[in-house]
Amino acid sequence: MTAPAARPVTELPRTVPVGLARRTLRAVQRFRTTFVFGVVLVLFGALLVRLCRLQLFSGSDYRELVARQQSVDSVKPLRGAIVDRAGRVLALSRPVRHVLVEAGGVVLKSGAIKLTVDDVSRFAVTLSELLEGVPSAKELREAVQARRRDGPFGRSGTSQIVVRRNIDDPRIVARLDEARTRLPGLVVLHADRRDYPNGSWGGHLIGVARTGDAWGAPTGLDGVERGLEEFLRGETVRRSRPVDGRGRPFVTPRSVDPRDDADGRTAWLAMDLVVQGFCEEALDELMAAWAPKGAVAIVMDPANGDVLAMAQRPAFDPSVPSDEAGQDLATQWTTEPGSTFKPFTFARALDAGVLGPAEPLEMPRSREFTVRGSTTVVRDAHEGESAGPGTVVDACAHSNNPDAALAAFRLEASGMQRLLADLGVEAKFPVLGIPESREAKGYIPWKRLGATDHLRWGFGHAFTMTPLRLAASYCAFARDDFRPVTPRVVLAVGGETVREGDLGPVLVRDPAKRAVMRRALRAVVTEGTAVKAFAGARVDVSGKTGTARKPVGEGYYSCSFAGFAPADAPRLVCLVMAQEPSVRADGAKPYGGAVAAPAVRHVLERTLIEYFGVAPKDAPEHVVPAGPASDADLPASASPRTEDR
Amino acid sequence: MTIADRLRKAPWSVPILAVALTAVGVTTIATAAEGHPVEYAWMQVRWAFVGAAAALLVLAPAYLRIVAAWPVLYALGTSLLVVVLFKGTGQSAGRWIGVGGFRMQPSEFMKLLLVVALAATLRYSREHRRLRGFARPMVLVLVPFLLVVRQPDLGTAVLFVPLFFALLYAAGARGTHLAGVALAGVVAAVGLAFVPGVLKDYQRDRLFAFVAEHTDAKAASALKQSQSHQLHQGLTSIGLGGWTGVSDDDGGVVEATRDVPERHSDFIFPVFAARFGFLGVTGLLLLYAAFLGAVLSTAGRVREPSGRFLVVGVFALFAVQVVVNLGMTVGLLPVVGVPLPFMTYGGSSLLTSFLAIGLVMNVGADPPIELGRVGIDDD
Repeated sequence: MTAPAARPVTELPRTVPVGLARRTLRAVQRFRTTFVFGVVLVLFGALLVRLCRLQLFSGSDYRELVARQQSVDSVKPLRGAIVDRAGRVLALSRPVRHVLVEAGGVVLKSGAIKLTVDDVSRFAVTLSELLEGVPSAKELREAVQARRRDGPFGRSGTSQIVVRRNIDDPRIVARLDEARTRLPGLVVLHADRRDYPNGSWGGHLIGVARTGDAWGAPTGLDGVERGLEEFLRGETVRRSRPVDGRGRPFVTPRSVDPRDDADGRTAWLAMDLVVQGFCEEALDELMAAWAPKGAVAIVMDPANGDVLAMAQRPAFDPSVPSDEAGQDLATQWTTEPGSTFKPFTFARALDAGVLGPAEPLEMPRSREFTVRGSTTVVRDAHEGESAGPGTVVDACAHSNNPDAALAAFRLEASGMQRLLADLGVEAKFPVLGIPESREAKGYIPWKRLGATDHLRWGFGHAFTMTPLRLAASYCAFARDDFRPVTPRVVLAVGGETVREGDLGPVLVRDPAKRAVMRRALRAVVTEGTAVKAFAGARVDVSGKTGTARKPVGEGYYSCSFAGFAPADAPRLVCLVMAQEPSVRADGAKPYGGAVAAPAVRHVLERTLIEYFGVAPKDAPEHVVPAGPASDADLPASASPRTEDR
Repeated sequence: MTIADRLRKAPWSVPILAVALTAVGVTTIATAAEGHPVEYAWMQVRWAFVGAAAALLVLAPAYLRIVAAWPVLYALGTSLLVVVLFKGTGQSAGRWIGVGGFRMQPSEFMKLLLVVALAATLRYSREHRRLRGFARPMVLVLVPFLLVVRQPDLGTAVLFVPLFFALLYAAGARGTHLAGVALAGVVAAVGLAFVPGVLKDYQRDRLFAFVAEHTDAKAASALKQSQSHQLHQGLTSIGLGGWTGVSDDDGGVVEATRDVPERHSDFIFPVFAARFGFLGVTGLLLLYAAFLGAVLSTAGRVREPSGRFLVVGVFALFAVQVVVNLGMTVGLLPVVGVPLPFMTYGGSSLLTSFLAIGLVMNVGADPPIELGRVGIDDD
């Protein structure tokens, strides 16, 4: 009897004794079991060897690899705010979210697009709920379906739809940030929204910051926004993020937005929004009355050069995305100052001793001058009988060109050149907050300079300067030391006070002569070219009118008035200039005294009486109206002068 | 014999080691899913309890009844695989079907059902001593294999193959026959890999990534940058583990493993390796070895062939999954979707594993006296 050859070893052969069969079976089983288990153990051993190599010998390699496999992102922080000197908001950034939906997907190797959102209806309902129903699920679904039907699709198969922009509701923002990791197809972009709550008020000074693509951080394009770009933008956070082999960053729930923090980057401007408002009002009235091509109003504190207001027409509204700033008249308009410059000529002539404080002046309608063989006749702009004879006070009050030319004649070309240099006519201010490219230099036509041109400088012709330069120069007359100031636009940045700008050279050294100049400027308002504009004024204003005929065409003037108040203890300097005002409907001609002086009066009266609480001249007793807003939040050194407020 | 009797007689080393592995798995899943909105660890614990209950259910009937019901079970399994072809859902492959509020992966259950079917088919057969006798078990394996490949779930399908060989080997098939069939299979598989449409793009990419990494340094570098990203991230995390795990100086285990795709499921091992280092990994392999040894020793005690084949099948199932999963995560094998038993997050996988444990306990508790179909004269 023999066992069948093909009999499986797992069964006992029929004819083999059971004991032997069991032992044979067990032996075979034991061998096969041991063998299989041995194979598994060998495989485990191989795994262990591999792991040993990976973990114990190659660990440092992988550490280096991880260190290399990082993408360093530049994350811009939230842009700093701009506030006025009382802390009123002028420009503010808020972190917002834009919501997009990926209607497309990824192009597979087969050429088909694997859609990111597979169940559009469900997705639309979920997203609409997240966005509190705006847009509705139906609108969302239709938008996605329309895009899928009509495209366009990117090369990689993507096709994103903008669903909603500028979401700043913190509840929705929180929900979106949480949902984007679990809702494929939802794209949430972080962005800054820059708000300008005061519209066009001070638009040119504040400037604007915008983003090129509406997603990124805004960049300053004009004004303080541009001038303080580096500070407002803040330090870019360099954040390393892990990336995959293709350099794509991983999006994880731990991603944070370091941009939601703009602490410590607020810029305090010297501007006072209330004074700015008075300037805006004054320019509105001026524009309505004279319809000039443009106009600018500047208010400065002569004590420290603070620019309290700077308004212009046409205005610029940074809160309107389509609006563009255009020319900044205060800093970029270079124009002949005209008669508003005469006080500087008289002051320098008095200081140089070439003109006596009480010296009789003829105040003629014309006078002939001969300089180095070259003769010229200087005519007065006024018609009729001469108001003279008089002194320098009268010549200034009545804005006599021949006498201003006489002063320049006596100072000679070199003296006048020194005067223009001392006032910095051809220089730019080092003003923090005003971008260098947004400030123009004045112009002196040195190459075409004739022998008698410095005579015309005497009454503000044959050279140009910016309104801001003229206003800063006028601060000299309002200061006890008669020194022009450097404007200060930014009061403090990041808690650090910006120091006052340098003062210019002393224009008049002798106090007695300074008093003469103060009288001359006061006389302009009390009996001179601005007497009508300031009739019945409730504050004593001193200043000077200016009407410069522009070299192009007939009847194109730039009209100006620069003044300060109160006349005896000046606290404010105000300059208003208008470009090419028209003849008024009632036939009134556009002169500085008619066009610009009323605007200056408006600003100075309202600011001093209604805001600073200066007692009006006609008040029966000392009246203190409501003062400016609390300065509690201001940096100590940034506070406006508060005496007798 | 009641459930209580079976519980008393069952080889308890197997479930104890399985629970220990599950506990390690839950801890690792908690690490892997840190910061993730879904609480995978708790869900895994829940599935573990469901699995334990299912194991008790498997203990209720005598395992011979289960084996006897193999045609029904096999038909049910393949039917579900057909259903999943039409109704399947999933990120990259339609592997799941919804049942109530849950998603089920029929291919996971099919692995166990195939073990039952093969055990039943081979138990009293002598055909497989000849080459042509391979036909019947091969057909039994090929049907689910092709259905699962079609899903596509190459990883699970590949697991059916070692089951086939392991059970035939245990059933007494000749080594030369097995080697010949294996060689023919490898040649056929390599050929099919190049036939368009047989493999999905990502499957071919994974395979080529693996081959290139081991043959061509330049290609390895390029592929590391692209297709083998998952493998590369896994290796990096493992490598960072060192002796005792990623130190806080290196950013901690969460940072080290955050970029590993599927780190809570098929790539759970890199998270474990990063957290516990080489010492932990050695401990884990010892734990798996002890578990597999306990399963195999149960097979050694069983005389009845179908019971022994069942246990051997379960052993092969677990052993192959462990080796393939660890092999792919350490870069020794191509990346396929094979779970690490008891560690990978996944309800179907864990439930199948516990059902398998129940089956092993059932067989171990109830070794029939019967040794063969014919009567035996005891000596």
